[in-house]
Amino acid sequence: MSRLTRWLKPDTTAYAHCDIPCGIYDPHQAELAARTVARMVELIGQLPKENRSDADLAKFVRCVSIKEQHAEIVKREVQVIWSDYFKPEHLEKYPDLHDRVWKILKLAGKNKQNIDAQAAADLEAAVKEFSDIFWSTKK
Amino acid sequence: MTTETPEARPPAFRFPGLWRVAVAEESMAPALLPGDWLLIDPTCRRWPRRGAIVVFREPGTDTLAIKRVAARPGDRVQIAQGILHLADDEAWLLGDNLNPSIDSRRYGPVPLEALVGRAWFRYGPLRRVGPLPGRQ
Repeated sequence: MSRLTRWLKPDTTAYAHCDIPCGIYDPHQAELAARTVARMVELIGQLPKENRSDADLAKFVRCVSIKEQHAEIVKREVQVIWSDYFKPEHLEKYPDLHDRVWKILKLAGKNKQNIDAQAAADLEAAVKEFSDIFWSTKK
Repeated sequence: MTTETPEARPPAFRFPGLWRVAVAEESMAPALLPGDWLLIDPTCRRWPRRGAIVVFREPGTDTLAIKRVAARPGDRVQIAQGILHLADDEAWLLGDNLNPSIDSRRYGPVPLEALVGRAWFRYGPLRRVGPLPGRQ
């Protein structure tokens, strides 16, 4: 460091304090949201198929809306863990991670578009596997 | 790095407007970045206008902190619990990077006695030399 720089350098520090990134990740929210999607599909299936009352219609609309919201939550939660938590060394251990995430996002989209018990079950299973991978990297 | 408090400086160095501080941490990014060298005017006796950048003693910890004046004495601030009316000597100071910033939302309004000075000029790094906003 030159003498000039040393002379100019402040001897006092002012802190623009910020929180350190929390580093808290938990796939539980994604699992819960996937479970909710499956449950909504189940509830929609229990509604009468014909002569629906206003109450049935209201319930139908509510279930569809919640199903779509929670499919979106699955997408967001999985994406955050995927992009922010997982590191290259995790990828070495689980080389299919990107593919798994891609499939979860696709499945979540499918569950938004359709009322499909199989797709909901697949989503739940895929998120569960994603969650298992996450926890295995924590050991 | 040890932090020397301004009071500890010999009075001979207290030329108005020539206090030097270095910025640490990122809550004022991109306006101020860690490692920026600033000149501080320690002669200001009241809170400068909104938008000005001030150095002050952080309530609770007493470390030197740097934030932007978001509201001045007499202003009203909307907080989660309702509306807060700032007293005659209080300011509401926020970091530019709202999300991770530790500021008045954490420790409340800051009294005038905690004010150390107004940051008015950046003299380093060279490519970003220039005055800071909010001249009184």
